Amino acid sequence: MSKLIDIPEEELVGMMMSSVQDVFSTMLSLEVDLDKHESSMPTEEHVTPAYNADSEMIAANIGFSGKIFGMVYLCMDISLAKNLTMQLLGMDEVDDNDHETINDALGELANMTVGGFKNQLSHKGYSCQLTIPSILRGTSFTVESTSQSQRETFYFDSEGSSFVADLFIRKGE
Amino acid sequence: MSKKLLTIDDSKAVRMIIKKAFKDFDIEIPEATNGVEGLAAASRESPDIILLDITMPVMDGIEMLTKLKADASLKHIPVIMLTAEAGKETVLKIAKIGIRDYIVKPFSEDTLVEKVGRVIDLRPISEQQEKRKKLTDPLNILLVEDKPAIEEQFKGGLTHDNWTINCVTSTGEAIDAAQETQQDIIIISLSLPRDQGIELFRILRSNPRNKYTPIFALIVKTDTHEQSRAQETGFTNIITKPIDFHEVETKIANAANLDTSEKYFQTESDYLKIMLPSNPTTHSINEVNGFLIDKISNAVDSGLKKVIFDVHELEVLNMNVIKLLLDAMKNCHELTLKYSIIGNAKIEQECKAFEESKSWKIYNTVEEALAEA
Repeated sequence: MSKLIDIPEEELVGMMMSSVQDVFSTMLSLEVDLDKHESSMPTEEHVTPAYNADSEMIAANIGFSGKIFGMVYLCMDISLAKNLTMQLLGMDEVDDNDHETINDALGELANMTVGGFKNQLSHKGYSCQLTIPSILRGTSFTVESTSQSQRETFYFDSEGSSFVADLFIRKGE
Repeated sequence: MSKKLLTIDDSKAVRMIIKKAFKDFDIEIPEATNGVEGLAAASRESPDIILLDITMPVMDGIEMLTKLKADASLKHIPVIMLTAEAGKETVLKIAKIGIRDYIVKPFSEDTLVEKVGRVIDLRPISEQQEKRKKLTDPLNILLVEDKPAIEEQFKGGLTHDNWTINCVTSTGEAIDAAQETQQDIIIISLSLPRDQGIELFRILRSNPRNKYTPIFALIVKTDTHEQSRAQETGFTNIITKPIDFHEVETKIANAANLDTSEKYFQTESDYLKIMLPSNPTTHSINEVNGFLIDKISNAVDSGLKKVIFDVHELEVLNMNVIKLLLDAMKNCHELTLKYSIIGNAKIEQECKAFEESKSWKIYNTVEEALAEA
């Protein structure tokens, strides 16, 4: 299967793994394991949703652009997002309706994770800049890749809770 | 005056984490959410240090840093970058503009405190507390000693119930313990192997968390060479073995700046009692003297009717004690506060031997003294 970027798949997996694990262990004191990794090519017309659409989900997305372009969606259910927010900010409780705090915490976790991934790309010669994070919330949404992008989906488990990092990536012009 | 750290980051979460990291330190943390706000805050607040993100809306960190360094009134402010952006080209570009350090997210709170502490003088909040801890308040004491017998002596020898002794036997455990809990006093045995005691002192002192924590060296009394070395290294004080725990308690109280007045002054419902120990040392006489004016003034303020000097434990009367009591009586006179002395037969007899005290009336009990008109 021909890939759009010339970084071997196992290296790409290792880069994403180390970025996620670094953020979770340093900022949250949590361990993370990779449950599953899926790779799909741009020839596919539709992309299967990587998320459980039955419950309310939150996705923090952040992009990078330069010699390589990409977008990462960090997607999880609301209860995990709340727990991570409390852990990150040292709070005993966070209100379900406090969207600002939860969104901001998830945005920052995504920023740090994708920042780590992007810095590894830069060290491989693909220099690029981060975009500002944004947040999606909803009970039924899917992300589909454009025909020029390679998609790598990472299913993680952190101490019994699962979340997904969905990477869409392609080379710059 | 408190130090001021300006944090400039579009993420509220990061600004909250920074405030959490510095919660034990006497430092103000104003905030800005982008470069434009950051420049305005830098002019307004005159911070001692700036923590600056790169990727922000409106004006990013690189543009703000460039403008800051071009402004004659702001360019002296040290800047530490705190960012997820660590691409080689970006780091080199920023280094050329001029920064003091670069922290890549994710970051630990300890790293943040350590790096900021290298640029500005961070003081723990307890150093600034106006209200002094009392002798009876809880105190955390970390003892670094590999000999169980000495640990037992400390646990049995210190008389204050609220002083908690945490004994560890290695430098690694000591560093962890000092990191986990803010210690009030650290005592390091210099008999630890391979000069580890001195090395541990240096490691602890280099951490802003312990920069002002009193650290004592525990050394054999006859080893004057080691005592000199401890002084030269910068230990706050020295405790000698065999250990005199009365002396240790006094040294700890002084180093931790404890309010020791409870040892000598007791406020009852309608009188103030001033108690002298059995053998007052020059230090304890000075301690009582230091509190005298405030305590007697407070007694008048509080509406107390009398001061009772309690010398019944005193074994020998000397001129230092007489002078102290004369000073106290003078203070009472000036504030028209009545006073009496309670003591024992021996002291009553010794009073007659001194011109200054021969006319003093000594009562046996508080009740008798209070009943006196």
